Amino acid sequence: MLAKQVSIDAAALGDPDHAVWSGAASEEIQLAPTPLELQPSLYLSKGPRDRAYGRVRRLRVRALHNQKEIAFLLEWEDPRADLVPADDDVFPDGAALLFPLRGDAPLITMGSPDAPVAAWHWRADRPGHGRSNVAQGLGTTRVVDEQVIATNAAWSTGRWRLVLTRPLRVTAAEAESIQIRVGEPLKVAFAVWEGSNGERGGLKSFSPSWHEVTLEGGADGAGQE
Amino acid sequence: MAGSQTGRLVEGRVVEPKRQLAMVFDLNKCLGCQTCVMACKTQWTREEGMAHEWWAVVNTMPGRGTPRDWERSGGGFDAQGVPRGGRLPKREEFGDAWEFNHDEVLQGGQGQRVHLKPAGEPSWGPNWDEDQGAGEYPNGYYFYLPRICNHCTHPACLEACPRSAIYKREEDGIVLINEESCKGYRFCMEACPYKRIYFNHVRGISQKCIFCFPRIEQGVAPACARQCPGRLRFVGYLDDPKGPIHKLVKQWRVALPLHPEFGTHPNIYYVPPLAPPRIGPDGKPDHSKPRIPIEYLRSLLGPGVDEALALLESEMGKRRRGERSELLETLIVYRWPEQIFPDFQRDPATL
Repeated sequence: MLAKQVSIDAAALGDPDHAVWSGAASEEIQLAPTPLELQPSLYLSKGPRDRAYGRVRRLRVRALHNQKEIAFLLEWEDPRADLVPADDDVFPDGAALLFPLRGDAPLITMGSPDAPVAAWHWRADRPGHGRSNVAQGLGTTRVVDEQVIATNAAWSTGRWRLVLTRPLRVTAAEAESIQIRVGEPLKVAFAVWEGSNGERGGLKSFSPSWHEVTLEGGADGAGQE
Repeated sequence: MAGSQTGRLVEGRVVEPKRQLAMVFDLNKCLGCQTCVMACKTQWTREEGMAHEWWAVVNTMPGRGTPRDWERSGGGFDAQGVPRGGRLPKREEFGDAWEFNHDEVLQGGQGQRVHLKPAGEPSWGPNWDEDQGAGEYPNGYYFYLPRICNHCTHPACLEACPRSAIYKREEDGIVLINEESCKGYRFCMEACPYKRIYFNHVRGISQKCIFCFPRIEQGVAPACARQCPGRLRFVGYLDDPKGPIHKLVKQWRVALPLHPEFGTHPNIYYVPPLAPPRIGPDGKPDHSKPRIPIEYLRSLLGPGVDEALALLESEMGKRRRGERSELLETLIVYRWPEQIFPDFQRDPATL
């Protein structure tokens, strides 16, 4: 997938309704339920689950950048927006991007002790900002920043449209965050939680393989204005 | 702590702690006063998001309990040690936190006309079944069942958490939730067959009874036990042959785990309730069968309940004949606190 270079500011980039998105290349990502047998929980790995989880199976993804920030527009069908978890058995909708912090970081286990991954996590009950996490295996996610990822989510007529925007490079928690460069391919994976289906933590749908995003432009100045 | 295997099933065996703290509740002494409940509430659950949390409850039995129908909510392990699916109760099933019109009654100058009442129409509470009981006059029956976290030997909550946020202490077997690691997924609440875990919606974390570990570490008994006016909550180590816990659970086998079939090996034990004899059609005591159906007590406390009740009866017979009974002397607790929590006698006022 190509992330076209555009010349609008971060606020405009972060608007899912901005006209610029209609010119962005899109890719449909197939999602699958996470393999529960890998979960570091006897209850999840061996216990019965009485309903299908990983309900969202298709995700439409677009990406744009303006040389300073990158934005991902995620769209998926969801008949109901699950926002504030007002009861003990209620969970919010969510979505996340996963990036390897080292080239060979395993996706299926969300990294390993030697090869961490970075996760940008949006939850419907935390509007405005996503959480930047680092993980070194399932069950190890740790928040490293709660401000640097801007999120803008809109739900209407059975569809979530979510934009996550972040500067290409970040200085805070540098080693635990993905650093993105124009012209270099970026590996990314996706996850969606359907709150009304009790999905949280390891109960979700995800893209079982990495996808590649290339940021238009590069060191030779091609595509730059 | 992190990475500890204590309380986990490893190669077919549950890894046990070095020592296990336990409590014995003598149901024949519980008067349902709820003092333990308030002692716990005032000690631990007065902070933000905890209004609906009652780490200690006293349910009237037979009843649907707290949360409603918790006994049929699944969780725990089957006979092969495989986790059973559980369900997440709703706040209303726990009883939630009732809001009262204190300001209106106490501040508004209307105390003569407006009475204290909960807002809305509560449909459940921590002891909603109070004094409902079962059976037909003149043979009705009920008893109280105090409940806290069972600090299980094989905690279903611990085995459910994918973040290893729940751990069992090596030195005393107390099961704790690490609030720093908890992400509020609530798999623990789903998996706990006793439904003794609450969700704090303000902080987004699960919370439960901590066996008053900060008191324990200072030699002070848990608040629910020390405050109990009936003096029915024994506290001690299961492996201490001189202490009351070992004697009641292991030696005399008169204290039994609640719903042992849930498979988690709970460490709160109960002395089963006796009851007055039934009254027959002639108005005289009918000893042919017990007032509280034995099937019901077996369903709560397992098959050991028959022998436990028989032993209590025979020991009471000794006393009636003027003989001594070490078992009854232990249960009566003539000397408090040394007979009821010998290792945790320190007065918290001296801290």
